[in-house]
Amino acid sequence: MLDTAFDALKTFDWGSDLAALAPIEDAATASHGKPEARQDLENRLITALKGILTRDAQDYICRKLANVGTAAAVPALAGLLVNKGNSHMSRFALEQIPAPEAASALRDVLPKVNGDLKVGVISSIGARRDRVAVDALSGLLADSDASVARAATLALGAIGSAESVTALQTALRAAGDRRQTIIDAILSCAESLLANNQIANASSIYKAFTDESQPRLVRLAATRGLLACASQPAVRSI
Amino acid sequence: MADVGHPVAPELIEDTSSPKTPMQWRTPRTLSLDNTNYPLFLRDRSMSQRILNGIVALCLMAVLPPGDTWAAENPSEDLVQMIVKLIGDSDKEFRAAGLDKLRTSAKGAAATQQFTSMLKKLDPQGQVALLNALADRGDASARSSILELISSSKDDSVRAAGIAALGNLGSAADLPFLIKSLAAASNIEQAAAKQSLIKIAGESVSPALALESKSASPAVRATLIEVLATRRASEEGPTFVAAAIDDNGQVRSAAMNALGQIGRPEQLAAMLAGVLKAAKGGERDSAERNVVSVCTRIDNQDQRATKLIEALNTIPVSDRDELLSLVGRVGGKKLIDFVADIAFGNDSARRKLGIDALSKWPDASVADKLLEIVNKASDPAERNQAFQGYVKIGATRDNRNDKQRLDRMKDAMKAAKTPEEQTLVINRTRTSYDVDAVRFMLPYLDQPPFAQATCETIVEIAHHREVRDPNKAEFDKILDKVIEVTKDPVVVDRAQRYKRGETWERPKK
Amino acid sequence: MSVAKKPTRRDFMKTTGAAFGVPYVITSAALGNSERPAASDRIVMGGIGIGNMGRGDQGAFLGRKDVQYVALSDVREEVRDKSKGNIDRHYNNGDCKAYNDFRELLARTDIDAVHIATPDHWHAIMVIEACRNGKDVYCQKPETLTLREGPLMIASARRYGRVVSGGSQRVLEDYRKYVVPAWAGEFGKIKSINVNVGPLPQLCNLPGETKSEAIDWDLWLGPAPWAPYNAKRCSGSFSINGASWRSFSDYSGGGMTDWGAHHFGGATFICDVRDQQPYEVNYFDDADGKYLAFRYQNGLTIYHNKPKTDQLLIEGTPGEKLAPKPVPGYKGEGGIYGDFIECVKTRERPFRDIESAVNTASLAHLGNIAYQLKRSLKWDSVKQEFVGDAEANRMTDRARREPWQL
Repeated sequence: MLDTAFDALKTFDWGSDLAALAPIEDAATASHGKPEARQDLENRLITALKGILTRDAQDYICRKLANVGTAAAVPALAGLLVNKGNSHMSRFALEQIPAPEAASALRDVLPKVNGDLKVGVISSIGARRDRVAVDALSGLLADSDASVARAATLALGAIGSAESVTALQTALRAAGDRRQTIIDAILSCAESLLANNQIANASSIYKAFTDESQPRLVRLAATRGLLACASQPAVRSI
Repeated sequence: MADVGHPVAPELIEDTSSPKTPMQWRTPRTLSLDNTNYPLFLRDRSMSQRILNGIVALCLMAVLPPGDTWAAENPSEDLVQMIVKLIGDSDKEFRAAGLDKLRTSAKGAAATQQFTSMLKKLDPQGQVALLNALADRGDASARSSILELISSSKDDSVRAAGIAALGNLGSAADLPFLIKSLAAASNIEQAAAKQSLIKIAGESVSPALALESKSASPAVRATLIEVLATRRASEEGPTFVAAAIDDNGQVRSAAMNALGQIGRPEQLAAMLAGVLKAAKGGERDSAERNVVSVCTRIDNQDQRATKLIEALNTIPVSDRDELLSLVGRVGGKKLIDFVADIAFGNDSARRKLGIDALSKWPDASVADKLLEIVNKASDPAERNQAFQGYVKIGATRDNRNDKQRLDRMKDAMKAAKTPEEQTLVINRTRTSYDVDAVRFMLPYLDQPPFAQATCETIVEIAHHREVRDPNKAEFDKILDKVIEVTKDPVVVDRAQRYKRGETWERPKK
Repeated sequence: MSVAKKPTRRDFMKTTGAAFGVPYVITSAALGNSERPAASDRIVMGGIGIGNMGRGDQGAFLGRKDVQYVALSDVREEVRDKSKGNIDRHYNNGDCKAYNDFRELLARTDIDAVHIATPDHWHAIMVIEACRNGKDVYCQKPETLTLREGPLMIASARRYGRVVSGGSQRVLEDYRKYVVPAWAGEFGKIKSINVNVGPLPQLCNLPGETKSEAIDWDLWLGPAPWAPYNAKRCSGSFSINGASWRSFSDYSGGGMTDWGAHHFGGATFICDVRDQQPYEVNYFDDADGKYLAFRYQNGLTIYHNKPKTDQLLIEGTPGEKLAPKPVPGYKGEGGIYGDFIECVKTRERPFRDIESAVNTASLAHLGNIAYQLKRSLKWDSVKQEFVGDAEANRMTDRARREPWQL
């Protein structure tokens, strides 16, 4: 059955009957807790991905690798990151594969892509909250491509580490019309710090944005942040 | 999943930027904004900046180890002061930030007193916002300040908000005031009082309201009965039963509605008395529906009929015919013969009542009885009454499928004797979402007297994509014919849309 | 501290408009008649996604005297033109601006609030972006497409103090016959309730077609995987069986979320767990079929499609009556729309606050994942992750097509 499904994948395209691929779906579910079966499935998917397939078939494999892929699948997926037609679905898998190799692949490809593809890779790094990438992302905060700079900003906000804050605060000084996005990312970091009970750090971030020179929405957010800090049980118990 | 983090609970992050020597900032004893113990960045000449700095400072005070016992004695005083300042902010979004916290944090009566002390300092809009927040906070210690504001405010929106807050914070002691407020000058105060009476907690509340509902003015009595019903005060059933036969229609209606909502089967007899007392027309109709509501809550259909028959038996025989319509609405197998005997009986006046009752049946189980009358009746008026009932019942969307409904329409068409009756069948056929229904309609497209109604029925059925899509070619052909025949631009538009696979938005009534 | 005069919106913009760098303008035609609130006190609104639901939402807001509807955005040209025509006819002017790209609408500083009724795969990005731009939001249900989106939407709303309402009117309006006795304590402690809803979403593999409409296809797809145009793929009809985007997993959680937003929303309201998420989802596949049991910390079980069990069948505690609680409701006048507008004015939280809406949607997503994996799952609602199930955790989100990012 699985062989038949993988045969069907060779000619699979938009409009093909998805039922032909049902054995692959079943194998993905049934191989849970069965390392050998899972590895066999992954190997078949990787092999197929390396073959000549339609974009739809490649996309399908990426969807499955998002569910079952391991470090073994990373090289095949990473090769697709630079292709305009495949980059997104490659990230579809890489963003979910827990192996550190997947994170490395995303970081490594950063210098090799531009424009939207770079934005996409950055967003996946942010979604993974990959703290190792903070330096690389920091270097993109002043990128000449505004969409890349914005993506890096939001990714650092999603990562939410103290290092992210430092990088964002530095970028803020020369931000120009990108201030709002950078501040949003910093506020996001503050929320992460607060969630980790780093109240003093969060407070000091918020207080910097209560200045009257800040836009009203920023002051409002900072005030709300300060209230959140003051409401922390740890604060009240001091 | 170690490498893939999550936004709401990030892994612990090393604290590299926090001040390592927090003790250099001593927590001040007082909350003066001029306190020079504050770090330099908090010293600013602008007043508004100083207020903001105050907020910052208060927050920082909270996160720093205390220099004395002040914080321990007043664990949330810092937060309280931040909230107090924000409550008075002229920007409602900043004010809302404080009120959000007031609702859920900074607990305790001492804090509540500080918040309520702001009530008199605010403009009406601010007062309303604070009252709403205090209500949500749920601390009854705010009650006296709220009562004071209600009595002193000249703004009805403020008084209404105060009255509404009593619903959360008040007690039985507030009932006289709230009942009096049901007749307040402003509608918003009346509405707020009603809502508060619904909400206010306490075991003695419902009995007190029930007692008051016996002696107040009719309008207030009706409102109090509504309140009791919404409170689900089923233990006050005797109050509703008595009020159901009151001489005042407003009170009667409120009582019947209350029984409809929370009445029990053992109150059916009293409700039937209420139906008989109700004025014919809207009040009677509503009263009957309330009886049906109580019956519907009896899951078993036979038991439902049994209970209704028991109740009917408490009513004088001479009055029972008046309740036939109600019996029809309740329906059920056990009652079919009871009503059919009357519909087939010798008394023509009673026959009409019986046919009317059968025509109101909630499902098609009486359809054969009605068809029998259609075929046998010698009185044309009775026959027509039964025919109308049969078509209505036959088309009812009960637990039958579309084909079964269509079969009933086909039988009705065979029995139809006039163009009006045929048109009625064509119109009702649209409740059968089946391609066979469209096929059944086709011959009438070519008959001018029926063409327009047929077109309308066809587009109604075509509206349902699940019927249309599997038979697209056939529907397209029929819809072309509809477009050719109809003169109604809406029908043309619909037919064209359905051919294109689009939907059509029914205009709101 | 005392506020002597109620600040108007115009006052506010006088002092803050410069900070945003764009002047606040209400055109003369917008000033309206004397029966309406002054233009400066009206809520200025725009709409994004004006298909089936969006049109209804737009009509509801447009009909309000306290709303000035000034802009819309849709990727379909015909929709834009028709909708703008309707609005301009309504106000007897030509002021409504129609945008293909929602970002242009959100960048306008004169707009206070937006309603969003795009396909679900857009909701999170748009809601978060709207909050970043200081807008209040009425977002159609299901509010989220993935589990990860919900907390980010809530965080954004809370960060900027925005009023964000979810869009199921049915939660409050359709289940009263259960809600009222449940909150009155008449069922005693509720042990379980059953929700029958479906189907699950399906992967869409429809073939490409020649476009039958003027549509910005790339923008319609947005963060979803690229796929060729097909009318059914992007149809806004209410089908959940393969004839509209609601059926397909790239854009929707299928009937499970589409109707689940209502039914699960109703169940959680009946049982007063709108503020919670379950800690466990048990998957059953026995002779009678597949079904789920969502377990809550308070002992409640919400079943999904429990065999031979009626919709919203409640298992209470016979003979027990709990203390009654007041049933929450809408604020203001005009149903769920009025509730939202009232909260925009008062800054209180709406009945269908984004947090409740997200909790409901998450319930449906958890169910979809359990059915897909065919196993029971433990859920840490604080960390928003499955406990000890890395594979399930891979399904809490999905990569967005470039250049879209949360």
